[in-house]
Amino acid sequence: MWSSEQTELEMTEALVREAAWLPQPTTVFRNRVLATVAQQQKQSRWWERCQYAASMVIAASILWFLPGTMQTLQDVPPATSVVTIERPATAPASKGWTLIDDYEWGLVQAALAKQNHSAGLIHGLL
Amino acid sequence: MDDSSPTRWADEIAGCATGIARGEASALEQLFDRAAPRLLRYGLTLVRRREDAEDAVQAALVRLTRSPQVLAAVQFPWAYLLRMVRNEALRILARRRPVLALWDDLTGRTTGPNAVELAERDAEVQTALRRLPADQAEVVILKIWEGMTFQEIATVTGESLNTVASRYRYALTKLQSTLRRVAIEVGYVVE
Repeated sequence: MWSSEQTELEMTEALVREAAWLPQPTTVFRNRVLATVAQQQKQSRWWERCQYAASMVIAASILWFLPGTMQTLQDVPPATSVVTIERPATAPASKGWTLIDDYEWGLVQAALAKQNHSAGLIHGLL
Repeated sequence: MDDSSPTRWADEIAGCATGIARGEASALEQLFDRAAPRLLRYGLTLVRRREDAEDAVQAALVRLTRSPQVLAAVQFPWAYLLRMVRNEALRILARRRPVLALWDDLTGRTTGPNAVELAERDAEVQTALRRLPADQAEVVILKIWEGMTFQEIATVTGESLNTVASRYRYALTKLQSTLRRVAIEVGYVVE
């Protein structure tokens, strides 16, 4: 029961609060919602798969038909083949050749190693 | 208001959303069983027809399952869910308003609990609530029945805090006038 100091607005609030009413969803409604959601999820998963497949095809097509891509791929040596070179024998200085020193030879070896590594990576991706 | 505290209730809703995001089939059923009555009640406040309220709730839940991680991450998950229902309800209203107005004019039909099922006092309160403008009735229901703060109600309705508080004040003043006889009958107010 209410004490006299409570305002009429508070009483109105209480009156409304006590009349709280909660509609119960019917079984038909419940089943309909759950079925609709399940169907939507199924469609959504299917659509995601389609998008994934389409994006893969597009990416592969772009890669394949980029100018020079096919040529580059065909030119790439097999992953198992590693290019190595022998250090050239010392050439006679009289013909104008310069003797290759250790530093330059190291640069050549580094460039070859890099090329072999890249070729291996590309073949790995393919 | 429901017996669970607002914080616990929000946690339950967020938990269900997380479950849905993980693809747990039972999570949506759980969410429906827990929240559908309250979502329906709120939807009814806005669209005034049971079928439309059900459509709004269904559309909101379908939309939710498309991006459940959003609901799990927001600050007020219950307010967010109510807002989803509100948006769907407004879409339905925009689509059906002319038909709805004509239908109500012709039949004098009102939506809500069956008056026979309610005590006379409760029926009068329901009638008084239905006579309020929808934007005021929703604030009353969110505040009193859902136990939300004005800040949360502002999140749901997208209005400013002041607007929400004003609407609540207007609505209560109208209800006070409408329900005065009931208040006297139950002894809340002495003539």
